[in-house]
Amino acid sequence: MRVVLAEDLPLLREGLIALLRAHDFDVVAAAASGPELAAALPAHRPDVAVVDVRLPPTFTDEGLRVALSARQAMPGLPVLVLSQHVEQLYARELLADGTGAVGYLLKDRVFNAEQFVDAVRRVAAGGTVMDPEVIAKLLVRPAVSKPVARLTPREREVLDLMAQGRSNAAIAQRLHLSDSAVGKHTASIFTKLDLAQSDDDNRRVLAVLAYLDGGA
Amino acid sequence: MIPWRARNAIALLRGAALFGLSLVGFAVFAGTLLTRCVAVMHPTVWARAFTGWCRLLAGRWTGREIASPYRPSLPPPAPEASFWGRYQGFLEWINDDPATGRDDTWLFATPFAGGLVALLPAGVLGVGVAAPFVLPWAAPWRVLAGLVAVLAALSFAPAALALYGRWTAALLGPQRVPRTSTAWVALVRCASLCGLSMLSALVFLTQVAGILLSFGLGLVFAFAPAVEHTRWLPNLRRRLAHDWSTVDVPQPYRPRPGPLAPRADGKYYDDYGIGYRTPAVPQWSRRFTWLFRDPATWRDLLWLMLDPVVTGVLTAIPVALALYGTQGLVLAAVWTRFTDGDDGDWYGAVAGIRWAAVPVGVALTVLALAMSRTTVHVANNWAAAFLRPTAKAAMALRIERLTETRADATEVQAAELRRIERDLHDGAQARLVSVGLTLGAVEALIDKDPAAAKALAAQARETAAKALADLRDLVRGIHPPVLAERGLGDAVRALALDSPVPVDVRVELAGRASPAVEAAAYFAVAETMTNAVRHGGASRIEVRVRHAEGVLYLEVRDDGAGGADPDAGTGLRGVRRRLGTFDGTLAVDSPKGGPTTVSMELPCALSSPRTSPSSGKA
Repeated sequence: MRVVLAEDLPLLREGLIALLRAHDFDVVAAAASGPELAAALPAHRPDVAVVDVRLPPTFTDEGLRVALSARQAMPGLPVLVLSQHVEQLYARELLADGTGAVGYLLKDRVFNAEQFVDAVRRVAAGGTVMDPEVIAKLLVRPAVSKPVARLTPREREVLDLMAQGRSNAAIAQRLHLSDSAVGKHTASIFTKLDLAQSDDDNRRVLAVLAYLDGGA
Repeated sequence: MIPWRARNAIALLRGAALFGLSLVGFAVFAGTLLTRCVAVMHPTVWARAFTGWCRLLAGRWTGREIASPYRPSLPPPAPEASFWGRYQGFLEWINDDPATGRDDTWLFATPFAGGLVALLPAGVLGVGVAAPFVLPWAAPWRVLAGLVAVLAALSFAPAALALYGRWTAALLGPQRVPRTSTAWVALVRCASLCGLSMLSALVFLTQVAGILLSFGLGLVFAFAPAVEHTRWLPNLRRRLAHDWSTVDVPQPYRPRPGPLAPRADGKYYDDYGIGYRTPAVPQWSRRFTWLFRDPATWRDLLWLMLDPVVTGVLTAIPVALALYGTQGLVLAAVWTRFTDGDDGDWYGAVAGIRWAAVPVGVALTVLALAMSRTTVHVANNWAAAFLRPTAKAAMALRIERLTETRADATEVQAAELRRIERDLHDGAQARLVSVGLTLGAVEALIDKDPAAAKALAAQARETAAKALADLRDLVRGIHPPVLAERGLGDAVRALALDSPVPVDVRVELAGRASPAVEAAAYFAVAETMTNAVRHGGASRIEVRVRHAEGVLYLEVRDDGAGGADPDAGTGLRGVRRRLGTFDGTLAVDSPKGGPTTVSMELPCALSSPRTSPSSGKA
């Protein structure tokens, strides 16, 4: 699997390259700044891009902006965004085009190599991975008069895990449910959120989007 | 013709009934006044049922609905509040409501004003009915006079009722926003200024007496009160200059010395190094010096001496013209015509001709009205020229303010650094030490007991993650990353998304302010929003951020319980101090029962034009 990496701190960049290589990823380019990333993405058309939000030269949200504009040029380009802090604002911007294949994680998550690599794979496969902290912030606010408010607590739990990019099988394992029970829950979630019958993956993204909006 | 007469007759009867009602109102007022003497305010609230009924009746009978002006009812008191605490809240609520006083005025004055007007048609009707029996004229004339009175009463009954309606709406309805001054209002203001300038003479004499007593007779205690307690008059004129002519006149006085603290030996020292056992004497001498050394004291005195002449004469001109024109010429000319009196060629006559006095009088009155507004402005500008701080005093005041805000800023900064130091020490630093220790143990165990080493390594990883989380929280408190990355607008939006209640954010910024200003603005909004949720129990918040003419305006409005006071709570006071460092201001409008609006202003420039007027809901 071909990866383009963007990270400005050399120590972290080398570490990430080593980690990804150890798990059989092919790191085709490692950018150290926004312009480098902007050049590398169309040149290599990777299977997934792993991007730090803050990059030189401005040290603002360079990485995020380059990733978003690259996804405009190449719709559906899988991007996993890493950051020292997570904001719902950025999560929404990443999810806004509704095509999925995005991830947004705290840098801390690389501590657990297995989970991190799993997240990269899921994004590359077109899934959506949201950091548990983004989800936790959502749960601070009680959803009122939004479709999400109609969900049962169990369905919210399922949606929560769906937002973290887990498959039905993984959710079943986590919640100690049968696969068919999870299938029923997800079907019920889609119905309650008025998501029409269509490609299942796309509906999962839209459900997560509705979830993020439900915080409002 | 019947409906016309019926309508008028009904208006007449209604007027009489309303007068009767006004008498009841007077009794109600007297009753509430009695209970108020013993601080029992409940009858005053009950009386609102009566005024509410009068309001409804007046609205229905005069065809002008009158809205209720009362503040929303009290929010339920905190369960832990004592009985007296609750009662005090209740007293504040009723006493602070301007509608309470206006209700009182209506109840008290209606029998003599609006009610009397409403009764007038009925009275005239009575006279008309009685006329044929009591007038000493020939029968046909008596009947005719009575008939005329009856018809007159009927015809002006609706107008009288409408007047009553206006009177009631003015006092029982919501307070109207004062309109821009008309020539008539300006004339009244001229008269007020004239009166105040006479008062200046009195105050001048008081101050001079104080000075003579203290420096001539050695009664030094007379000086300070005579000066300090008469400053309200110049201050009143400063305020009037602002309110009537939009001339900004800040107070030029040096700040009053604060309470004296004893030195190490327990004694209180005055400015001359003499120690006292009690603070009374040195405190007094400091007050004396403070007033005596302040140039504003002497400028005030000079102004007080000149003002009766300058403002007095200036404002007297239009007042005299209007009085002489209307009272002396027009009215007098008309009056003497009817009474056949002759007051020579002073009242009601020009060059001995009475009819010539009318146009002259009208012309004088018109002239008075024409010059009234200008006169008010000239008088206010004259006062402003004397009463505003001199360049030197303004500089001194500015330095005073800068010293104060600099002290605040350094204090805030020092406290912040202390907090960061403590957080690092107890958080990330301690955790990293623990990681090092655990890794050492892993190293020792890795060959002997790989399973235990693995468990320890996992523990070290967890601790490192916690250290990172600590650092992240710390960084958010110092300078939120989203603020650095996106600027104020998106940072406030991110804040709104994380808030436990729905927040409506609207931002109009065409660029970014300097990082320090952005941070101050961000934390001000964050603190205000937290307050709204935590203390106000808000369920909706609106945040507006915009920049216009070199000022950044921040407004946070919530639907919480209200009653926020920046002088009482530490939160808003902290925000005020923080903004003060940037010459920013904070104003709070928070009546009991809400809603609360906190308006903040920060003078600053925006850099890098990047137009992004946008709004969003979160």
